[in-house]
Amino acid sequence: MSGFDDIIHQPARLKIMSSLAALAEDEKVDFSHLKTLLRLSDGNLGAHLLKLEEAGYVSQEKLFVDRKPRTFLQLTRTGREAFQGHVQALKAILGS
Amino acid sequence: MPTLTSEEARLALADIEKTGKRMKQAMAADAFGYYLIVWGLVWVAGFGGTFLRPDRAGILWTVLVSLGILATATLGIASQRRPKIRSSHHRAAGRQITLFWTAILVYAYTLAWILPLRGEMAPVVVLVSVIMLGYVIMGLWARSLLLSLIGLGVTAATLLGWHLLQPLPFMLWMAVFGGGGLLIPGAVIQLRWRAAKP
Repeated sequence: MSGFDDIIHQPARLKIMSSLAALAEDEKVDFSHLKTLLRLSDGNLGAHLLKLEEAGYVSQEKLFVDRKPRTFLQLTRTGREAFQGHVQALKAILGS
Repeated sequence: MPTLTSEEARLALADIEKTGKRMKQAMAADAFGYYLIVWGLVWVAGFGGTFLRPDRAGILWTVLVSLGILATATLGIASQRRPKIRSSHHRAAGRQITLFWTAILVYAYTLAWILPLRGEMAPVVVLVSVIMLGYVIMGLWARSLLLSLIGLGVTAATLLGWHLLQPLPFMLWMAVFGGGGLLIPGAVIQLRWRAAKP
């Protein structure tokens, strides 16, 4: 457990991580679906995902579905652990 | 540890819970919201139509069930072709679900046909109860309390109506509590995740 995480705690990234953490470990969500769900713009979601990807928290899979490119996202194991650690750290603040 | 107040931590945790819940609602809406609406409409129209025109019940149900199967297949194919959530087990799960429902329907019709039953409405009760057993099992399998509760609730309403009512009013009862028991939760699932603010 890595504890409080400044990368995750930014509000939009916290929502992205919370959404992805709600999926099972082998499930991936479509970029457009996540964008609609979180009501973020393409650019905004893309920028935050880049940051999370650089941290090793999120991975992307690009596929062609019906000849159209689509991107699917999921938490990496590191990302899931970091998120759980962040949640524990927040709970610890509440408890202290 | 950052300088975060307990109020800020509480808000962040609430945000995490709300967003995770919204994702799960969206997955539930995608997985079975539309199917509940389709079969709720079939039952409302089927039982309601049987109440109004019992002499045309055979043709009415044949048409409605065919439309329901067609709509279900279309939704399933669309969901496979443009998935919002991908996983290694989803395609296999789709096949298992299709086989499961085929088996449930075969058993339901076989039991309604071969069992010595009390009263002319008993085959309807058997059919509905076995199909609702399918909802209960599906709910346990998919870890959806709502699906299991729909199964139990509609079964209870069916048995109650059968004991209390004459055959024709029982059809109206089934349109409301059987069809409505599927349609309303399906509509609520769809509306809830769309209405919820992230």
